[in-house]
Amino acid sequence: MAIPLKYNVRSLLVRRVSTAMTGGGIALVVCVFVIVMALVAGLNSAISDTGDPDNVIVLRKGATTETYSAIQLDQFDAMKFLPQIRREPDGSVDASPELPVQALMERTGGGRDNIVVRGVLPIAFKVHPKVKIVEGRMFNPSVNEVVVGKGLQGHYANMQLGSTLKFGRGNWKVVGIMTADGGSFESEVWGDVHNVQDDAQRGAYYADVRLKLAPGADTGALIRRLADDPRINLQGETEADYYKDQAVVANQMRVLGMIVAVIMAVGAIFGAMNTMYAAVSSRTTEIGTLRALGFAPIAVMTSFLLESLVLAVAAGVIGILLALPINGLSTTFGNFVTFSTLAFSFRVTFAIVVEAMIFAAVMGMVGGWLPARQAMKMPVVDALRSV
Amino acid sequence: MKYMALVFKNLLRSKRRTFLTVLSIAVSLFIFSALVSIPTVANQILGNTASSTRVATHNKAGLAYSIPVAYKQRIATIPHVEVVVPESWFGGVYHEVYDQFPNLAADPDNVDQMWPDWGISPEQFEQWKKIRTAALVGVGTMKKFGLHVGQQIQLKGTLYPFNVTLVIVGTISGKAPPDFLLFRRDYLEEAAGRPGIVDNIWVKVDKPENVPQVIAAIDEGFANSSAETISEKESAFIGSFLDQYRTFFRMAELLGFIVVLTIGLVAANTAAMSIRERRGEIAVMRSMGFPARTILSLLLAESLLIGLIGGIIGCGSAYVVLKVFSIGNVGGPLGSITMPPSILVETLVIAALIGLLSAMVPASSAARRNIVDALRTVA
Repeated sequence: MAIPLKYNVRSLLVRRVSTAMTGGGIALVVCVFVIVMALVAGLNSAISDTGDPDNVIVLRKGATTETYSAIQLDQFDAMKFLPQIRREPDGSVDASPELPVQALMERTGGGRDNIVVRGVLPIAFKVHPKVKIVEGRMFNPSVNEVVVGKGLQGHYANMQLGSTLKFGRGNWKVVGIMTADGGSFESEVWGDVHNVQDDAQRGAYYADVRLKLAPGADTGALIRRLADDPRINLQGETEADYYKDQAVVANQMRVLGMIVAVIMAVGAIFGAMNTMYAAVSSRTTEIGTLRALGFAPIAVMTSFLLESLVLAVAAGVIGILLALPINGLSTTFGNFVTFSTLAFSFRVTFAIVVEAMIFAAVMGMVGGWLPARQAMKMPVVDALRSV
Repeated sequence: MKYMALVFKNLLRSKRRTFLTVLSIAVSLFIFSALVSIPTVANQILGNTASSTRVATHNKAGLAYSIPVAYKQRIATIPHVEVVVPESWFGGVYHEVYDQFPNLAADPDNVDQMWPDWGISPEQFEQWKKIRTAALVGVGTMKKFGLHVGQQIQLKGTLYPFNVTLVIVGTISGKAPPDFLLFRRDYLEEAAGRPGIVDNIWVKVDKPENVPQVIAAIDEGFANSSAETISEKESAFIGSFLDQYRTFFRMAELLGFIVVLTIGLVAANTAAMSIRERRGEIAVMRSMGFPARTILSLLLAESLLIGLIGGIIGCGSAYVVLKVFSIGNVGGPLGSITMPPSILVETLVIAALIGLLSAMVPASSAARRNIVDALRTVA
């Protein structure tokens, strides 16, 4: 027969201060875990949500990021006629030549960061359907006008509708605000590609081209053609693959976060062990009584394990609640791969909450195991005799 | 001091508890000291490499914008300017894409005068001037890829559509960044078809006090041109790159703070438990005539020892681990973190405080407790 859980909960409540301190330790560890994982999840989704499953990104052979790529006009013209690319009803080809450059922008709190300014043609909004202008209008290519990502607002100066943004060598009027389902385009400024070429003195070439696949098109055939056609001779990759490689920053953070959380957990487990050992030794007589009443040794062990588990899980819930306010908090992060700054929000996902609870439960189990075993192994007579 | 034996005896009474508490503090302070060392990497890099007389001039518009190499001549005519070396970022890859280390091309002349703190020997510099494909490589990069002087290596171009084949003529050590490769810009310029632009121009000023004047002269000279410039002291220039990591740094500090809170709780709990169990004997000692103050200091000394031992183990092992990692040079720009002595001291102070504060409340209440009550309670 099992010892009722009520016994454990009441025992925990009797040792209020000690329970609170042990639980507090576990709660803080869980809190750290949630914060780090929310940061990683936010970064990851900002980077990988940028990719579209039907898009292929074309770069110069050997280039690893857009930053390091260049595509000539004749190469672009040659690829435009490939049959695997989708066409709009009006006959225009869904091929978007783009030129992202890094320009220094002023932070609202002082200091400056490199922000991506992406030169595009109007077709870009067809190729990237997630990008939507939510306020204002599209830029006019014949004057210096730009659309800014919503993620930049609040972090950088002059990002409001109607304000004048100074970057590169010119003044640019902000005529629209765009969103991109949380993707990294939300941390960018978009303007006409020819204006950006001019400003950066880049000459008439693009950095990369984004192609929208026609329904049912063979991606592999398109990528082979891009590489083998002597007039094109470029490297194609699905956006999903491309952005997976870019997310290496998030992976580094994840590793760091896991190391910190695990080491902290070891510390908290030692703390929990201490508490449970104290609990076992102060309740020696009680344990003896329980055994004398006929509860099996394994029932005693289970009971103490459960007690530790209840404590850890309750602490886990508190830890998650402590970390919850960070959900949706927006911040910026320097991406060392692209040398540009990414605005993103912390995301406490359901998966993180579940992982955090499992993490707390594991701490409780590991911390309670040895003390509970000691309680089980106690000889009944000795336990009863101890005053 | 005569009570030290008693303190040690008390520590060893519940060996398991002392052991667990010390380990818990050690583990937490290990991670704390490692975490708070991360943000100091910026200062370390600056302290190691920045010279007070070197100035970097680059395009005001941002990273993607370059400046004409012809600016070199104009800068050279400014008073107090001693040496001018234009430099371009090559961004090549040696093996794997994510093994990247900074590789740049600089005008070959005057490199030794611009960077006298790089430990380039005159023989190596002779070679560098003689061989057009010469490269000088940082000690970290040499070690990481197992390179040796005289070896030929190829860097795959990422920014430029071609590869460069280089011969290592020497090692850069001294105050240079460890992860680094420098080759000759005349080679790059020819391969790239002589575009005549560079990413930045290094300027060496004769005396530190003339730096602001030179910076002003350079930037005013190119104001309203097609490529306006910003000139910064070397420390500010490197600092602006490191500034990108600030979210990462703040995060590390926040985590470090939470870690300290966590150990504080764990330690306070243990101290409270061990003192509670000893109420009876504390009362006996009081009735034998030990003043409350002595008993309080005994209890505090015990807790302080636990904290300090944990602290020494924790930050000592963090120091060693970071040292080993930094030698192995893993993980890009953040791989070379070492723990500055100030953090060692800070961690030990925190360890002592944790020890003292965690025992303060239970110890003072135990020491002041009414003797008769305490004696009567059966432990």
